[in-house]
Amino acid sequence: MTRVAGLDIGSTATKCVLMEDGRVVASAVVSSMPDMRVAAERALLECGASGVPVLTTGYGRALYEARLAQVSEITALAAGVGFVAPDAATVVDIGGQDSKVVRVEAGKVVDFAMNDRCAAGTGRFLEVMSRVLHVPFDEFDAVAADEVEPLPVTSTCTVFAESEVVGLLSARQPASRILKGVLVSVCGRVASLGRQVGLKAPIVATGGTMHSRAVVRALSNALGLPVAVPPSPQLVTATGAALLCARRVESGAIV
Amino acid sequence: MIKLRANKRLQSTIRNQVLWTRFGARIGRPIAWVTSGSPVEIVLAAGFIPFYPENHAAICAARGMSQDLAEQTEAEGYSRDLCSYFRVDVGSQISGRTPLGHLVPPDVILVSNNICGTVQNWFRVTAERFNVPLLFLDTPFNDAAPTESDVAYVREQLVHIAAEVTRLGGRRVTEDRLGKVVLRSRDALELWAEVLAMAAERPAPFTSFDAFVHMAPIVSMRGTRRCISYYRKLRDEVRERAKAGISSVPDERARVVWDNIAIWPVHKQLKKLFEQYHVSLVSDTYTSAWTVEHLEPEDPFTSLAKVYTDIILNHGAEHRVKVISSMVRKFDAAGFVLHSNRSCKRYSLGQFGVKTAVSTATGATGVVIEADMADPRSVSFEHLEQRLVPFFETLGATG
Repeated sequence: MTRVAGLDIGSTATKCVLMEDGRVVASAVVSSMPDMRVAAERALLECGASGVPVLTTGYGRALYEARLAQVSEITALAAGVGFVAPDAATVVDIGGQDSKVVRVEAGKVVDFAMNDRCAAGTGRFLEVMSRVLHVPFDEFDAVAADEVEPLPVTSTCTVFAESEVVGLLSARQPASRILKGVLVSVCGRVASLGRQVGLKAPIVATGGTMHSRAVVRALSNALGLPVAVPPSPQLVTATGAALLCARRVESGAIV
Repeated sequence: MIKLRANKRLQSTIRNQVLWTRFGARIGRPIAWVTSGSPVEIVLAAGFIPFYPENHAAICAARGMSQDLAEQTEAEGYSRDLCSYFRVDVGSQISGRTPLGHLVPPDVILVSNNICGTVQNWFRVTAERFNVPLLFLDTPFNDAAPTESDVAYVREQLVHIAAEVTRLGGRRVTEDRLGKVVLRSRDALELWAEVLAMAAERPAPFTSFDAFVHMAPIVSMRGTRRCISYYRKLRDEVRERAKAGISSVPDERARVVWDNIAIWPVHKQLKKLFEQYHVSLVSDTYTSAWTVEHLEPEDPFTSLAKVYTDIILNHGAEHRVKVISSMVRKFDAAGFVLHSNRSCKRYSLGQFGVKTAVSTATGATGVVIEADMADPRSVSFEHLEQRLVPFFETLGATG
């Protein structure tokens, strides 16, 4: 019996997936703050993955010292998508600190583009706006999923967009239209990123933000193509890390 | 990993060049400040000693002085969006600070727009500061090779420039004298081309990270005997390494090609990252810009006109696609890195299109990284790593 774990230490959340003979048997999501090292230990503990070979990925991947190996989140994401949605040709991932579009083939990266320079077009932008609007993430759907008249939020800079939203609120514009405008703005940026590598269907969307139907709908509109979301969109990268870990263990590369 | 013996020689060669410039000025030899794409052979034939502000800016950047110097220029009102080499060099002129001790002021300035439009203004500002004559060579931009009328137009200007440098204190530039300098340039350029071509061996005995630093003499000393002797020794050493199977990176696992100028503020870190992932940077469009063909000592003016108009930066994006694609094939590279250089607009224009076109033509994987050749405020190693590591992994190279 091969037991392995994939640990995705992201900027916002740390995700862990435990695999046993090619099946996911446990998973955990914990906040990365305030200490990514502690978050990593906690996520492993919650999965019952202590003492199991671990492959790490994500921004904090080098922080977990007992790792078997580490890979970039692009490589792990592609491997994970190859497992949860083998037919996918393009993956769009909106993470806490960046957004990326990866062209994939059988779990391998063909090409990728990422925005890691600017908060606009990332989960961080949504987080800031959610705070200003007093609409927590789990209420996004109730507020904005069916809104059809988004208000334009045009500032690229997150800080200026925040004051734009404050301005809209003080002009007594409804939160639903502003939030929808925010989603259109983020997804529009991700779509232009996608055009750099070419958007090939079928498209799969991943990352914690995809738990929201409103986000998925706005993304699909921006891309002009249908978007499929796997059952646990936040865990795809960690799943990929676990798979790559299993491959290394089985090939006897290390351990 | 065995280091190049030439690394030490490079330092002393550059030091000697600086000393020679200073000594020459003291004994009354006239000094010409020139762009990297100037027909330096003409000023050499006239007995001038050339100095290269671009090269100087790169040295300042590699020594960690560039931000400070750039800020001096910005304080005079120049935008941070302008070329960082310009800001660094002018900052050095303003403050008098340079890693070379002190700068030897120019007697004449020679500039050509074959590499960009910025140098035209940069060198004009410099000429005004030192109150010296400015000689300008206009090289028509062309999609591919220069036409006959382009060559005739440029040749005529070269003849004028030769007459001007003579009038401004130089020796008379005869075809014979110029031919001798052109021959020396050609010998050095051929040796440099030989060195770069050897990176096609597996494993690569010499990479572009080596070339980025060992290019200094071909840029700033071509046309001299010392330049030839430098590259003859380098060629022999690299040949030895190729024969002995000495690799520039440990256990080479992937080979990639580079487009654009080096990223001096993180040059060493980047080199280390490539080594850590066992990736050889086998060729690049930057250092190979000094591997021109068709230099003919028998007809120096015409061949100089051809060569200095036929420069990669003086051509369109389609030409660049051809150059990069042929490098990918010749050096058997699985990928290519396009450095989108904030400072060099002409070099960076159209890179996303170039990436798609080269991938389609060769099947190689490309990545665009954003940085700056000299301004550390526009370079984030963290972000470069974010892009390059997944790119390396895609090529099958792991750390």
